[in-house]
Amino acid sequence: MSEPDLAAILERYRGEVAPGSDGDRIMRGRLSTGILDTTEENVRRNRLSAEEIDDLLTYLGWNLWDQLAARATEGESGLIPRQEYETITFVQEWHRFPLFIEELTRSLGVDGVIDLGATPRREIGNKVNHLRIWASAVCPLIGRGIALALGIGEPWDRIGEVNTLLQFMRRLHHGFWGGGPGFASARGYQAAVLDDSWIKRFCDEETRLETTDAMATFRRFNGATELLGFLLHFDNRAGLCDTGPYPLPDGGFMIVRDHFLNEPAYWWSDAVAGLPHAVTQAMFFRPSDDIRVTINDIGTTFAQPRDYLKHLSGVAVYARDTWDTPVSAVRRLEAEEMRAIERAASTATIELYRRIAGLSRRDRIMAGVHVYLREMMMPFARQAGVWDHFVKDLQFDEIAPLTAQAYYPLVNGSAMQILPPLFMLGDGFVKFGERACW
Amino acid sequence: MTDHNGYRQIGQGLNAFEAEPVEGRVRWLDSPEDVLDFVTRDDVAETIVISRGGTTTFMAPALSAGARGLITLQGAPESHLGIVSREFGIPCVMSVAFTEGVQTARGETVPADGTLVRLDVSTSPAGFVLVPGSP
Repeated sequence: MSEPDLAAILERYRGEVAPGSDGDRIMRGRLSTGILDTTEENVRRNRLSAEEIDDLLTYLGWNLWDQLAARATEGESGLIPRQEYETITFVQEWHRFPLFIEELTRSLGVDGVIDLGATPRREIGNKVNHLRIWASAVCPLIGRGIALALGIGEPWDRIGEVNTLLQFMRRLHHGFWGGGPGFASARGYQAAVLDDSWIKRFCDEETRLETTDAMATFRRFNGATELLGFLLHFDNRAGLCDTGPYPLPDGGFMIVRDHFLNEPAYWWSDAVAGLPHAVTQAMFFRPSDDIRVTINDIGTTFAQPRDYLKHLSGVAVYARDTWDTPVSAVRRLEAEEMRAIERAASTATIELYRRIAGLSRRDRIMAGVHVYLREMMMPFARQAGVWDHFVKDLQFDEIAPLTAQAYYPLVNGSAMQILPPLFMLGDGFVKFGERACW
Repeated sequence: MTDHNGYRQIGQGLNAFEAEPVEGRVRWLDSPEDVLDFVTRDDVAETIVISRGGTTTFMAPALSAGARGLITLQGAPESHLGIVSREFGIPCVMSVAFTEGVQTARGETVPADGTLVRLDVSTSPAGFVLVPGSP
C-alpha cells in the first residue's frame, strides 16, 4: 500500500467515511434495519434476520476502524509477538466461542445474560466490562475474517454461529446500557454507566491533589499500574478499562479507571503475588480550558487536547483484592499503600519483562494466545459459575484443528499482512448478502 | 522546514501529547537485552530512548525507570506506547523519519548513541526531533 493510500485510509474508513460521531451518523444511514439499538424484544429473539446480521457486520467494520486503525500502524514489538498471537486467538475464538456462549446462555438464561452485562453498572474492579462485551463478538468475527483470508471456510458458512456471537454481545449491551444504541461510538463516546451510589461515594472520598508531590505520587501510581496491566496481559488492553466521563456536581468531570494487576489464571502470576486483583481510580478533572474527553468501546480514554491529566485535581483510589472479593469489601487506598503498590508494580514489571524476554518466540506467542483467549471469556464464565466446566469438561484451552491449520502461516509473516486490512478496510466483516442460508 | 529557533531539525513524527520540550542524549534500544541493560545505567533520567515499534511492553522498563523521552520509528499516538507515555507524562514522538544519523542493523537511520537532541512536543499532530545548530 502506498503512503498516500495509507494516509487516505487512516483518515477516512475505506477512504470515504469520517471517524467519530460524523462517521457513526453516516454508517447508521447506510443500515436497512434498526438492529443497532437493543430493545426488550429484539434481544430475546433467538434469531436475527440475515439483513440484521449484515447491518451489524457493516457497522462493526467502521466501528473497528474508528477505534483501532491508527493502532494498526504500531509496527512490531521487540518483546511480544502480539499480531501473531492476536490473529491465532481470533481464529480460535471464531471456531470455539459460539459453543461457550451457547453453554453460558443455557446456564444463565437470556435474562441472566442481560444481568451479566449490567455488572459494570454496579461494580468496580471487575473484568466483566464493556471492553469484553464488545470483544465477545468482535474478536471472533475478526477471526472469521482471518480464516477466510487464509482460505479456511467460505463466506456463507456458519451464519448460525455469527448470530450466536452477535446476539450474545447485544444482550450484554442491553444490560450495560439499559437499551438503545449498543456501542459507545453511537452514543457520542460517553460511557457513564456506574450507579449514582458509586459516584456519590467517590465524591465523598475525594482527595484533592494540592501539592506537586501528591500529583507526582498519583501519576507514578497510575503509570506504573497501567504499565503492569499491559505487561501482565501480554500487551493488550485486557488489563485496563475506563468508564465516564461523569459530570461533577461542582463542574468538571470524573473518569473511573480499572487497572488489573493480579490474575491467578496465568502461570506467570507469581510475579505479581501480593498485589490486589484490581485497583480503581476515580479521577476528578476541573479543567480551566476547553477539553473534550471521549471513551470508546474498548474502554480507552482520548482527549483533545491530548494531555488531559494536566487538569487532574483530585482522586479516590480503591483496591479489590481478588476477582471474587465481594464488591462491599472494596477498600479505599491511602497514599502510603498506593506508594507500596507502585513500588511493587514497578518491581513486578521488571521481573515479568525478564521472564518474557527469556522465553522462546513460540512460547511468547502461545502465552499470548493463552491470555487473550481466556480474557475474552473467563470473566463471564467465572461470574456465571461455569468456568471450571469450560476448562475441565469442554477443553477451553485446547487449540481447535482449524486454528492449528492457521497457526503456521500466521506465525510466519501472514499476521502482519492480514491484520492491517482487516482493521483498516473492514475486510473481516464479510456480509452474507444473498448467500445467507436462512 | 519549520523554524526551530537555533535548532536544526533531523526528524519529524507524530506527537503523542503536547508538553514542554525536553532535551537529552539518545540511545537506540534494539532488543529486550538492550532495554534491561539501559535501566541499570546512571543516566536513565537524562536519556531519550529510541525504539523501532510503537507497542508498550518492549519499552516497559524504560518507562518505569523514568526515561526523559521516547522516540519510535513506527506507531501512532493511539498505539499503546502513545497512550502509556501520556499517563507517565514522558514526551513521545512516534513514526519519526530521520534525515541523518547512523544505520541500524536493519538499515534504518537513527541518530548515533549519545547525540544531544531536543524533542519539540509543544504542538500536535507533528513532533520534531532537533539538534543544536542552525539549519
